[in-house]
Amino acid sequence: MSPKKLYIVTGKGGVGKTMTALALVKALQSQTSKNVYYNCFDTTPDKELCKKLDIKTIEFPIQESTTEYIGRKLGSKNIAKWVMKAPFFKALFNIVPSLGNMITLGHMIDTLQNEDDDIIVIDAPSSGHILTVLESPKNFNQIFRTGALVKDIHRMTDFMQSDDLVETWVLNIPTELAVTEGRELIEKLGKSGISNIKDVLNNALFKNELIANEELPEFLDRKVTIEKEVIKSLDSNFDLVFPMYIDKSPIQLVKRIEKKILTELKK
Amino acid sequence: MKNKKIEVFCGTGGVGKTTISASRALYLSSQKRKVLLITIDPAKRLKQVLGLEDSATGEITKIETSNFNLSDSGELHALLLSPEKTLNRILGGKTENNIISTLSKPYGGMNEIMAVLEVQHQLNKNEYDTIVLDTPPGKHFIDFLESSKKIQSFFDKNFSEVFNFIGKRNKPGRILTKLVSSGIDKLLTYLEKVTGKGFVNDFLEAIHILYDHRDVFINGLHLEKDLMNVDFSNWFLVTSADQLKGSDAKELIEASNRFMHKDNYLLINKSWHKFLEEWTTDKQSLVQLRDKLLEQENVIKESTSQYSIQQIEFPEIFENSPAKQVKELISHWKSL
Repeated sequence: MSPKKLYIVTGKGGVGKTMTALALVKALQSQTSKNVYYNCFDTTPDKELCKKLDIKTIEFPIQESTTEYIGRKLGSKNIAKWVMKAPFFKALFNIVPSLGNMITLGHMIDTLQNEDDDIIVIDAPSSGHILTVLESPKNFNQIFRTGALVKDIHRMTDFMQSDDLVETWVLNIPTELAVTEGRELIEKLGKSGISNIKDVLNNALFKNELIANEELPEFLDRKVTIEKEVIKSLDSNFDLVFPMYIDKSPIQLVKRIEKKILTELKK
Repeated sequence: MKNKKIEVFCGTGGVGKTTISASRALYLSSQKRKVLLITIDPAKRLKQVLGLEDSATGEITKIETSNFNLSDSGELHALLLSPEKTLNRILGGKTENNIISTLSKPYGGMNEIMAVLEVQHQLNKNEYDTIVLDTPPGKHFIDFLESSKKIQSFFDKNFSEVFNFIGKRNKPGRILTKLVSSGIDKLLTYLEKVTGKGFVNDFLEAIHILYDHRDVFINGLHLEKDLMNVDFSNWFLVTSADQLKGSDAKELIEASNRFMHKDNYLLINKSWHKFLEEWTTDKQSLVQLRDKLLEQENVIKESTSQYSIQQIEFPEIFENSPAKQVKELISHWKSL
């Protein structure tokens, strides 16, 4: 597996994005000597868990990213600091969150382009909100139209649309709502020019080793049946299928998913 | 459970907020109430749950409650939030301003702010006995709650001088040269250096347009107070018994503490507890499986036991079709 620069793990809420993203970081760590970072986009990572898993986190706080960017454009860090202190700008960033999204994404891409040895895995927001993030360059391109900013926005879009640099994992769980949302998301990502997508079925009870060939109580039997029905009726061919692991320790869970990722990707 | 003007369903992603809130709205309408169900989540699963078309987005749509085996019920209307339509209503028509029209597109990022204004608008109309609100997941729920604060700071007194100055006497384009007081001229000069002149003009025009309608925005600030009023709202923090949502539930309870009052409920959804307790088996591997599942189920109870919040448990519904799930959930509300 030749690693990409940026991995985006997304899908409907509750499909297991965090555990899978952490496992992907571990899997990449074992495959390459590069620095693999875990990032939660606009939320704070569970640092305690990351420490236990020996995973490095990287954050791009919006205030700092913006000050740095404006400073570069104006050729002065001091003026940038002064500008960002103005309550007017704070209020503006609050009321237009997608502006912040774009700046965070821009800073991340900039870091990746400058550091050959860095890889970032984003534990991304769920479907609706990741589209807001990924459509922000397009929207602000329309807003700014010309000028220095537009060049930077194009650089961002080129990066995001490169299949060699970016890989997006769309996670599904075997329920009608999650799989439908996954299909819609893949279609909309395609319209934003993002096509290097891995369609992943996560948390499949019918793939659990304890479930196979056992006499199950009615409710589990029913659960397994409806999982299979969903997949059949929506005619999905998943690139990767991960079983439901029953374990209350997140560390054990991450390790098991990591192992599964490595065996699946070797195929 | 007391009847209130508004019921709010919030929680992290995938816990079943949309399905649960739809069932609650249908249940309330079966109690002869006139109900409006609003969803704010841009992913809009509500259309799948209630069988709505994409074209229904932004329009209040009447739901046939007979499709959910309810007869002789009150009325249920549903609204999938469209930031664009909300904004156009506020501004009294489509705006030509490039910035405003781009940002109010479906994924432009203005969802949470527009949601506050839409909910307030529907409350002002006073046509419904209850409004049921399906909020966006996780962090974005907090964004929604804090929208009032954001609106307030945007229209803050500190700016009114600037806005008045930009006001009617000045046509966009000539403003820059005229702004000499309050330091904002300097700010805009820097902004222009980074973004170009076209943007700064659009930007000032956008602010001007918004400021002209500031009354509507300021009116939206009432919602925050109403949501904290125990006579006005019921809160449901939805969490799910599957997949280790324990720490999420904890975070949610703590984050929403300052907004809530005594009529709030922790709703543990998709619980297998009942099924697992009833399951008897002698086979060693299955005993092991059951115990592991029970252990996992208990994570959520253990991590929320320290809070005094009232708990309601909903069993997982083993049905594929969202509509069938909703039907079962309605009867669960009835049995509470």
